[in-house]
Amino acid sequence: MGMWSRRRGQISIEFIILVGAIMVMVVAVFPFIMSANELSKAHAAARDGATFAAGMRGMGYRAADVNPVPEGVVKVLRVDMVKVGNYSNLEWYRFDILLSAPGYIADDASYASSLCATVRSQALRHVHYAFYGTWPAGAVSRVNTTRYTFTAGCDFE
Amino acid sequence: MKAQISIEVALMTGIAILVIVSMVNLQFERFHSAREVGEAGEAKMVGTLLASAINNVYANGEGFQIHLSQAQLNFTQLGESTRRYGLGVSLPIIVNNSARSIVIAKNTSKTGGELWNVTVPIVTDNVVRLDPSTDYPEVTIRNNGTHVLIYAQEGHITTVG
Repeated sequence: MGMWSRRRGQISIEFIILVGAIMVMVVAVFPFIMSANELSKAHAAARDGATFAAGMRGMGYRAADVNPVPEGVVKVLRVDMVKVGNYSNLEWYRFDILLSAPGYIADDASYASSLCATVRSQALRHVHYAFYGTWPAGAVSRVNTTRYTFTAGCDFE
Repeated sequence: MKAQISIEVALMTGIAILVIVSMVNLQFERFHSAREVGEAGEAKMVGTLLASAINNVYANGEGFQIHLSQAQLNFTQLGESTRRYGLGVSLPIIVNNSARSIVIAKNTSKTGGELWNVTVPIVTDNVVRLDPSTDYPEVTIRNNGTHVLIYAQEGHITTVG
């Protein structure tokens, strides 16, 4: 048996070529993967935040400085991520959150506004947490990341 | 053959570990958030239970009393926060006479909220808290003809207004 024996765990030339090609491809698409990952992470976090807020407000919970909303079944039907344009040097995306709530909430401007404000703010607070690992103080209307800026809108079914 | 670990196995194991760790983190975040909402719901049910008992005692007149056991109102579990990710319910539960309501406060700051309150309405504005005794253990609610008396520790239930 010589030094080129196939029985001693060497890496084959095919494997080296394959790994090399894969690495070239990964490096080439890496920026796109990172961008897509950032958007996906933000979208998931926004949905989590909106769901949390809808559940809590639906049960009647509210912060001290927030207008009360009567209890009712509040659900997040959809969270769409819509590209708005550019904001400074960042790409601007807006989360359009569609809620379902009883008529006595959805049709009352004051209740609807209070509920929507909490849902929007919680969605963006969760986005902030997903990127920075800390909860921001107070209400949030915009979250900036390295590539993107996120805002949120809210409407009823 | 000498049972080497091939480079393929090493690579695949590394990738698998990365994927599993990232998924576990994501799922734990959602698990904690869901549990916070669940605990908030339980806290509100305690408020509803207390309000229902106060209303019953008030409506049935002098001498009527209800005892809510430790199994029904588990203050230790309600306020407990050390073994859980969330911060539990902020005790005491407040009976607000002037607003005719019971106020439950839940600190949700670990899952992105703040100190959030929920109120449960009651019919009377004449509720007084007293320390529990042998005759009236915690939590006994009694109508003495003029007031609805709640026998509970001050750290568990308090009255204002």
